[in-house]
Amino acid sequence: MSKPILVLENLHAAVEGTEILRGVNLELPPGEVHALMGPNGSGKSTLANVLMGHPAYEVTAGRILFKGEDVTELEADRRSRLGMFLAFQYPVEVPGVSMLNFLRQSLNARRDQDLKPREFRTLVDGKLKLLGMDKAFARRNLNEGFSGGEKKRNEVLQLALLEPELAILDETDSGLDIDALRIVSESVNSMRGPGIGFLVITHYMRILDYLEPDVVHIMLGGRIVKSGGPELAGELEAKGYDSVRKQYGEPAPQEEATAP
Amino acid sequence: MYKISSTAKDREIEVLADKSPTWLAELRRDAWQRAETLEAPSRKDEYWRYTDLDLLNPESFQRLEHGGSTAPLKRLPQRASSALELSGTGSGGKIIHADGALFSAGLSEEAAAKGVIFTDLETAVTEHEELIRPRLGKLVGAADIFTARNLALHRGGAFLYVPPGVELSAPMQSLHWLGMQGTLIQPRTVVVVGRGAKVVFNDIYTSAPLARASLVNPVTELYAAEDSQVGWVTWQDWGEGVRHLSTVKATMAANARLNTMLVTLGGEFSRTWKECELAGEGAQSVMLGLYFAHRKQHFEHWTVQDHLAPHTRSDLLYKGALDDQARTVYYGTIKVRPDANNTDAYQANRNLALSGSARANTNPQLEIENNDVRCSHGATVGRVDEEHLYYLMSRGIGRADARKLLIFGFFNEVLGRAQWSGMHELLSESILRKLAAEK
Repeated sequence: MSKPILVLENLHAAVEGTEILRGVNLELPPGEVHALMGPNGSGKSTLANVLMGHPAYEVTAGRILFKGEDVTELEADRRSRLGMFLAFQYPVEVPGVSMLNFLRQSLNARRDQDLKPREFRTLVDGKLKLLGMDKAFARRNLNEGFSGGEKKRNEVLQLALLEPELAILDETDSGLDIDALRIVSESVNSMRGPGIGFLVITHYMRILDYLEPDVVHIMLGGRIVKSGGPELAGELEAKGYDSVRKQYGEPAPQEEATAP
Repeated sequence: MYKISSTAKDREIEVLADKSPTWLAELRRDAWQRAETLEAPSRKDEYWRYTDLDLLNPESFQRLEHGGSTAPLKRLPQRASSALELSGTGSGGKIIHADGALFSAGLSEEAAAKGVIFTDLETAVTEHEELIRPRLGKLVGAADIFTARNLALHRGGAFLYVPPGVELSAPMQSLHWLGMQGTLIQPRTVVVVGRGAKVVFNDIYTSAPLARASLVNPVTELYAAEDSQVGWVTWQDWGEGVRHLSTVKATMAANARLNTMLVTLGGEFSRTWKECELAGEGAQSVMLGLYFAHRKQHFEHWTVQDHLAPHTRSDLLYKGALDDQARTVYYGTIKVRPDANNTDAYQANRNLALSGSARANTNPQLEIENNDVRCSHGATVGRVDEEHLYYLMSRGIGRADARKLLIFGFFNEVLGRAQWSGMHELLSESILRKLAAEK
């Protein structure tokens, strides 16, 4: 097996002094799609942001290896330039910053070269077309006034443009209707290949019907408690998270009881 | 405060009065007397409570006896000529002053053929008395010691007259350059836009950095007749060491449209008073403002949206960033007079603090004397949003570049509404220059 693209070793992380990740271990070889599932509050989004280097999260123990390099202490921009990408669950609206200006700067940073304006436009237009998005999309300000679905598509657009080696999709499926979900899944599938690994974080099974993960991890209480093949997702769908909780002894927080 | 030796002051007013036509000499002498009797402002006064008045003492600066520069400028410096590009290329006319003296004046053939008058004020008071006499000093008289002094002792400035129905595509431009240290200049500009006429005016102030402070006390009076459309850009990018104390008042007749954009970037002290009187039914005014203060700069922006007539609309948005130990003050008043039924008045001031030691004061005021109004005002002082920064950085953009993107994004709301093509580039340069000066 080739060298893993991502290795998490006993990763602990806290936000404002509260520990949320309590020893995450994971190995993701290139070319594979791993699904990370778990109930709300299990630490999935925290893990995504810790991987990307959110300044509010503090790694208290363990480390993150990307392509064998320890990136635990790097700032988000360095991680991105190395080839890590996070499609955010809730992308922020950045008023007044034009999409084109933003995309150009991030592409130039990722490629470490200045693209010619024409090359850049051709590239952007091509990806927009691939994602079934209108050209006018790129003339707007970054996520400003975007619908939930548009924001998610914009994340996938950036994913397609930046061509990372590790793509973390944080609930990219939530808030998308079936058609949008299909388009997004198809474009993710088209990016699959030996040079990229995917970590797909999701609360639902739905997107996994399209993405067909190689490995499914179940997260509970800030740890990965169970990993297995795609059949694990089906099992989870049949029995629900409660059975996992019973098995691993994690008490169900109140707000999770009503989660859809 | 502000003690003046009586011989020096009398000599100055007399020199100027002697050179003026009789009607203006009288106006000057009256204003001088008024200035003599007016009490000097103090920090106890609401209008001056943020201001270090020592900075503005006229007696700390040497007046220019003949309005002339000691070392006349030969060529317009780069910083000044690039500021003339803020409305894009092309110009309907240029009046350029250097150190308070006329440097050059020109009018495009198109504008001249359409009967437009654009001259320095000294020429206008003798050659166009019928147009200027009823207006000079009528909008901005001798209300306080500074405007009174300007009325008495003004030198330099421009006069623009656009005849009724005349539409000009290229902007009319007035530029003030300053090269002298420790001087005081007090230009006065009068703009008269005829019924149904259309014009864009650029009012530009720029200079090299000065080691010893100079004070500039300009006054501008704008008359927009019925159905006229006026675009107005004020560009203040003085070099370090300049103190700027400006007063602008516009009066708008029925259905006039006025779009203004005020940019404040330079100088060590800058205080602008900008008042817009919506005097005729259906008048509409847009007032945009943009400022970026750094180091120890002190900027004050005072605005008045004065609704006198029914069905008038004013919309004001001032946005400013402040860095280092800079201090900014925004103080804006919306007045809705008893006759101004069906008024729309909006006012917003947004500040972006880039350092912990910068301070922004923002003070929106309403004086509403009519019930039939739609009115809103809002003021904020915020910081660069860490989540925005993280989002941009997560796409590979370095912290410094991400911060720049966010600062420009903040200003874009104003710039997007100001339709002046050259301004983006000019502003980018100035802002980048300021950001580059950061420690």
